[in-house]
Parts: sequence; structure tokens; C-alpha cells
Amino acid sequence: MPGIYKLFTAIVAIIGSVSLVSTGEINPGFSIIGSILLYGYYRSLRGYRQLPREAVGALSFTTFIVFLVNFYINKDVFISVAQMTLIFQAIKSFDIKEPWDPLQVFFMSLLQLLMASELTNSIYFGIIFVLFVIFIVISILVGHFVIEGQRDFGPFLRPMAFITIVTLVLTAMFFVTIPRLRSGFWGGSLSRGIKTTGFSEKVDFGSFGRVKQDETIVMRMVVRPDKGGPYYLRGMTFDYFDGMAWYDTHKDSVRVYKTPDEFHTDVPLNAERYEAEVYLEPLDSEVIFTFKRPYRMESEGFFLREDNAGALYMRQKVSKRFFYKLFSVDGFYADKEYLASYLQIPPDIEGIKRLAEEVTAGAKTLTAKAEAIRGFLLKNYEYSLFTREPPEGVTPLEDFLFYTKRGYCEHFATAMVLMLRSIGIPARLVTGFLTGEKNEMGDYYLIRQSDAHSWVEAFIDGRWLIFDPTPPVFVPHKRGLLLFVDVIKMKWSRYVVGFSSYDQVRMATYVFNYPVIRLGMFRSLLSWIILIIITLIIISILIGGLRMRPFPYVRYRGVSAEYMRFVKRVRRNGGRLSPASDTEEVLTEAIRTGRFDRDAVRRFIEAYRFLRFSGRQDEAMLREFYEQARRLRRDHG
Amino acid sequence: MASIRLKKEGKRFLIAVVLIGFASFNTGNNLIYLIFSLMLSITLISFVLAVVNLRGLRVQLSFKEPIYAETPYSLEVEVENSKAIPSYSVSIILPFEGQRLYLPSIKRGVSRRGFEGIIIRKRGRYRVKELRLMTGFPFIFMYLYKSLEWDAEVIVYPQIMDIRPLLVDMVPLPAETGRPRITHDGEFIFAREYVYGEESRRIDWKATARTQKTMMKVFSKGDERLATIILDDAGGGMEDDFEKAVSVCASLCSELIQMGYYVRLITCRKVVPFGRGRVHLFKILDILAGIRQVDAGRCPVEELSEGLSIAVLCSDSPGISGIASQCSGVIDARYI
Repeated sequence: MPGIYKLFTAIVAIIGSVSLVSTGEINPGFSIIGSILLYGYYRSLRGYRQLPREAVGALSFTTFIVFLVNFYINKDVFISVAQMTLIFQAIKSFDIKEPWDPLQVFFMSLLQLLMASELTNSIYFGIIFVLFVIFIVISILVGHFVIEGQRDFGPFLRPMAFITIVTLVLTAMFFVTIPRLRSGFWGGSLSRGIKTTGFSEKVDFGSFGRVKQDETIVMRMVVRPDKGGPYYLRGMTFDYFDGMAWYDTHKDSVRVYKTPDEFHTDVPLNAERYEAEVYLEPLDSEVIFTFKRPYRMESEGFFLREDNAGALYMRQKVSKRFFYKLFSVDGFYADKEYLASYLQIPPDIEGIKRLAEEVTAGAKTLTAKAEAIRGFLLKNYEYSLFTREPPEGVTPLEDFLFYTKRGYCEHFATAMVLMLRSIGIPARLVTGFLTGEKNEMGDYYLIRQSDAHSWVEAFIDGRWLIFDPTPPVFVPHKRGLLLFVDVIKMKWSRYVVGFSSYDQVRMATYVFNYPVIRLGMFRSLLSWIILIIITLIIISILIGGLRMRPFPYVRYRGVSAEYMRFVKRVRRNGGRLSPASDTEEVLTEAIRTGRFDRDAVRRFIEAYRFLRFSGRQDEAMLREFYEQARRLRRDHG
Repeated sequence: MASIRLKKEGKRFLIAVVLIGFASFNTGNNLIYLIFSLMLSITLISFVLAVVNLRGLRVQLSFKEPIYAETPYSLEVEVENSKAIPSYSVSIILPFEGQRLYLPSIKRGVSRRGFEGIIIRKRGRYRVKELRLMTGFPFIFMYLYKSLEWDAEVIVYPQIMDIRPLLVDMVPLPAETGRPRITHDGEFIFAREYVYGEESRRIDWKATARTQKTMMKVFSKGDERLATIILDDAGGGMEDDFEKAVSVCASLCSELIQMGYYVRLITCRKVVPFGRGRVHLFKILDILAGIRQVDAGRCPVEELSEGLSIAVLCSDSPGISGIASQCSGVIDARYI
């Protein structure tokens, strides 16, 4: 079997295994065992003896036993199978004997890629996938010619490149056109998605020390019109505080009316409207983060619930990225149910009450009182991610308000809510995110776990007004290349992982309604595909029609390449040759220079003429050609 | 007329396409849709490029020399590709025993390529109506076949063996042969088939009437050597043994004609009268190329003329047992 075929087989096997390992779900021990395939293919490429059939059988059987034990221990058949394929790939790397053996490797790599697709939705999968397409197509093509007995692949480079490009383009076209269904007929997806931490449905003061700033991206958001951030992305509201933690005690919620792809909430539309496209990473939460006051939402495939405080929830946690579009207005929530519960205060907070009364003494209106408390907190307290354990008999909140005067958003918001409540203003704690840095390249906001935030809503004049008592904090932003990489990640997340039937309908509508190319259409994926196809067609026409040779040296592989090298040597030694010089001129010039053996030159040229132009393949002549070429090289290397 | 044969890998691949398609529809996982799309595109490319690959091809075969069974021969293939793009990895399937002539690439226009060392195992007259082209390009999942019209009859002659060691004891040395015993100078000795351009006055009308072929009288010049080869094709022999017997007959005829003999072939159904030269040899070989065993029980061959006669047998109960005993030599093909 030719070395090049073994090499491509090795690459495909490595891509398959890396696709699994890169998900981060594989036990490192199995990853290390899987990496033995590198040694296996090294041996294979060096032509070392491959494992006998019996040894391969015994190792495979052992692997199966390992799989059973592994499955018994971790109870996860999917991961167990994935880990088993890593070992099988490693074993197979020692058993590449026949031209058919690589086919098993290809199928196994495909299986690994398939499993990886269920374990991750990272951009790295996309990179691995593109590499897989390129190498699997070339490998199968090489395999075809190997099976047909060919050993020189030079003449086939161009069709190989062409077929690889066509495969990539067709794959993209199939991807966008295959109808998106999610039947869930047989168990649904096993996808584990990515579980991130940071945002929590519970606000708890039970832990102390330094809060880790988690830079994991939670969501990306495009806002139109964008009037400049930061924007509050509302998640949950909390009504009950027991001194240590907040709880949402109003569990009643209603299902939101839904047309095929849209949810509608009952909100008057007499205010300025906004659209926000949110690309949410998987969170361990059912919460939908809303922008301003939403009245409509476009998304796919799940129920939506709205609680009495206007917080939106999915039916269940989603373990993959998903996309939703919010249509919102400037406005405030105005729910009046359970107002009494928003005046609840824990026992023994007389100190806090006295402080609130002191701070709001000069304020006439409720709004002014609330602003006075917010101003007091902003002015006199410091933002810090480090909190100490409070002394005996002191609650964390009292420690913040009266002793340390340092805390993070939850301390500020909790303090304000309790101060408001203590002077009779209904208030609640709201958790969610504050839009972080803006990616100017992609014109969207990046929201990280570290942007998780708490603020206050106070019921004043029949509306829930927003107050944020936390001092602003400077956060260094990403720059340059990192922003560009994030744009790519965003596109991957939106147009591949999050591609949906909704997008297909939009694309179809776009294509049928807007046949004329406009500048704006370059934003859509379909436009990119069309652009790529048109570009490829133009390049093909140029290459074919104008007889251009993008890779001229490829033509001269083998015999022709050797001849071209000789021509170059003749020229270097004073031969007056032009690109149009024929073999006779080369012969004459080579002899004229007196630098080459006359007999060798004559025999070399004659052999070349025969091999190049007779259309016959003659082993003896080929040997003669290379023999003379060696002679000539020896003389004038 | 095109047809497809899925290879084992192709069947597996299609099963995988169906399963992955099901998985993608079941889970709604876009990354599985991505893999499904890849597999669909490979399937489509596999089929479309194979069809395009065979389109616009015309093939002409030319044999440079007579074809003998079990003997390497060479042929030249002329391929015309009328497409704008080259074809790759095309095989021409020879209609005799399914041999493949592989063409790695066929550029636009007419190209010729010689193939050597091709062997056909069985003699016979191959009536060919079509030539099949096959390609597995670009991948390894299927073969696409396309038939091209090619109306021809190809004759594969029996294998010619080196029979000289057997002839040593049977064929008299030139000195011993002398003149034919039944004739003297200038006398009629036998009739042979007419060859274009011969004088009509020597036509043997009686023999012509008997054989339904134009026969010529041959007159002795004193150095004629006659040989009659009798093939036992009366059935009863094993197929392999009969094939050997046919091959021995062909080899004997070839050798004796080369030695200058007038050679006659007698089988149970057919007789090729005496003759010599290359043309006569191929008349005999034509008969032997298509000969089959007849279920005759006994062969009606009874009469032997003068000269060397060799019976070639292939069974224990030959249909020509009666006449074999009169022959100057008997060869049992089973022991060769």
C-alpha cells in the first residue's frame, strides 16, 4: 500500500479521535490510550510488520470487555461507546495491511465525529469537521486509485481538489436545504451541551471569600436600534428573603399564547420598539432573559411560561445553544398581585430600617426616597468581589451595611430592597445580566458569566421602576483578533448550531422576494453560499477557458518534472533556452555547453520523448530515463 | 444503457446515510445534520461524477494478431472523449471472460493505448453485441456500467502447444517419406479447397458436388506429404480432456503445416480437406475454435487415405476406435 494512502488514513483516524477528545467529555485515560494510534501509524508508515490477525482479535475482545466494565461503572452507554472507539482506532492503526483496511478506519472516524456532534457544539467541532471533509474525500479518492492499482497520484491532483471543493459546497447547500425536523421519535438527542455556572436561580449569601470572575460567554445579543448600553437583561425576580438567601415564592405561572413561531405577551405597543436577537449558550436554567419590556418573542419548539412578575421561562432546561428574538418596548412591569409579599422583611433588621429612614429623611416622594437610598449606597459603599465571613451574631447584610461597606451586586441590591421595604415601598430583587462589552466588528454585545448582575425593582406610582445601586466597575475588554474569533464563534453558533426551520423559511422568503442583489443581503448565510458558488464558477471558467495553470509545477510531476529540472540546469550552465524550447533545442544546447555527458544527454532526451509523447508505458524505458537522469545529476547536481 | 452495482462499502455507506439521516431528524441536532449533509453530498457526487465520467466516450478495439486460448495477446484501444473534461479511472470490460482494461485518465479527443499480456482462457467464437465501460470513480462505493454498441465476432483459437516431442516417433523423416505410395508423378492424389485466383480447369467437380465446396485436384509432384488428423469429438470425454484434445489437434495441424505437410482434419461431423499453408491452417483452426462434442456414440469416419494419420482421443471409449487402430499414431489427450 502506498505511503501516501497510509498517511491520509492516519490523518483521518487522528481527526476522528481528536473530534471526540476535544469535546472534553472523554476520560483522560482513554484519551491517552487512544493516542497510541500515533505510534501505530508511525510503524505503518515506516513499513514495520503489522499485528497478526489473532492479536488484533484478542485486543478487540479485550476492548469489548473494557467497554462492558466501563459501562457498568459510569452507566453511560454513549460515553462508553465513544471511549471504546478510541481504543479500536488505536488497535486498527497496527492492522493496516490491505487497501480495504483504511475503509474501516474511515467508517470508525465517521462514527467518532457523529458521537462528537452529540457531545459538543463548539466552533472547534466546525474546524474539525471541515478538516474531516477535506481529508476523507481525498483519502477515499486516493483509496479508489490504490484499489485500481495506481501508484502515481500526480495526474489526479486536480480532480481531487475539484471534488473536495464541490463536496464542501454541496455539503453547505444540503445543510441549509434539508428540512429541519425534530421528531424525537426515538429518544431525542443525547446531547450534553455545555453546562456553565455563574447565573443561578438562587441568591445565597451563605458562602464567603473571593467570587471568581467567570469569563465564559453566556449569550450574545444584537439590539436594534442600539442606543448604547449597558442594557439590563432581566431574568428572575425574588420576593422572600430569610436573612441569608432570596426565594421566589410565587410559583404560579401561565402559558404564553403562541402562534407557530411567536409568543405574545399582553403589553400595549404605544412606546418605542426594539428588537433584540439573543444567542443563548446552554445554562443550567429555564429562564429566558428579556430585554426591556417584551411583547413578542420568536423562537422555535418550546413552551413559554410567564410568571406574575413578568419573568419568562422555558418548559425545560435547554442543553444546547438556541436563538430567540425579542420584540420589546420601553416600559415597566405593572403587576399588582402579591404586592404585600414584596414588603416582607426578615426579623431583627431594626438597624437597617433606622438607616433607611435616616437616608430618606429629606425625600418627599417615593421616587426620591428610592433615589436617595440608591445614591447613598453608590456614594458610601465600595464594590468588591471579596467578602469576609461575618462575626458571630452579625448577618452578612449587616456586615456589609455597617462594617465592611464592601460587597458585590447582590449585597447592594439586597440592601436596597430591604431598606425600601423597611420604609413601606414594595421592592423586589431582580437577577439577570448587564450587557458587557460590545463587539464592534460583529455589532453585538458579548455577555459573560461575570456580567451576571442583580438590581432592584420598586413599585412606585403603579409601576415597577428599576434602580441599580451597584457602583459601576471597569472591566477590561477583548481586542483585535480575539474579537474577530468571537465573531466567527457567533456566526457558527447562529448559522450552524442554531440553524432552524425558521431560518429556512426566512431564507426562502428572502430568495423569492429579493431577487436583486443588494448590499444588505451579504449579511445572510445564503448570500455567502451564492457568492462562493459564483466565485468558484468564475475561477473555473478562468482556469478552464483561459488555460490558466494555477499550480504549474503539478503538470510536471514524474518524468516531466525531471525533464524540467534538467532544462533548468542546462540554462544555469549557459544554455540559451526559452520556455518554448523543444527537446531538440534542449539537446543541442546541453551538448553545446560542454558541461554534460553527451551520451547521457542524448539517451535522457530520447527516453523522455518516448515516455512523454508515445502514449505508451514502458518500464524499461522508464528505468533508462531515471538512470540517465541520475547520471546527469551526478555530474551537475 | 447504464446500470449500477453497489459495492459492499457502498451498501454500508448507504445504510449509514439512512441511519444518520434518521438520527438528525430524530434529534434535530444541527451538527448531525451537517454530517448527514456531507454524506448526501458524497452520495450525489459519487453518482453524478460517475455518470459524467462515462458520458461522451467511444471505444474501438483492434487486435493485432490472432488470439489463441491461454496465450497472451495484445490489442490496441482507441478511445474518443468528446466531453470538455477528462474522464478518470475508466475500465473497458472485454466481452470474452470479463477482463478489464484500465484507463487511468482519458483526455479530451482521441487517444490510443496498447495493452499486452491479455489472456483468454477458453477457445470459442465470441459473438459480441456490445462493449461495456465501467467506472468506480470518484469514490469506492459503486460501479457504474455503460454499454456501447460493438457488433463483432471474435474467434479465439485453441491453444497451440509445443507438440514436437510427441511427433518424433510418428512423423517419418523426410528421407523416409519419399513419394506418396498410391501415386506416381503427375497423378491426381487428393482434392483440396479452392483458393481465390486458381485455374478453374483443375476443379474437382465430383468432390465439389459431394462437399458443397469448390474443390481443386492436387496432382502429385513427387514430394507431397499427407497428414490426416482425426479428432474424437463423438462424446464421452470429459470437458477438460476434450479441450486438451482440441488443443493437441490444433498444435499438430500447426506443426505439420509448418513442416510442409498437406494436412486434413477429420472430425465426426466435419472434414477439412487436405491443404497447406497459413490460410489452410486457419481454416482448420476456425473449425477447431468452435467445435463441441457431439453425442454421436460412434463416429462415421471409416476411410483413411494414404499418408500420416494421427488420431487424437480423449476418452476410454472413443467414437473413432475403429479407425484409430489403422492410424500411424494415436495420442490420448488425457495424458498430456
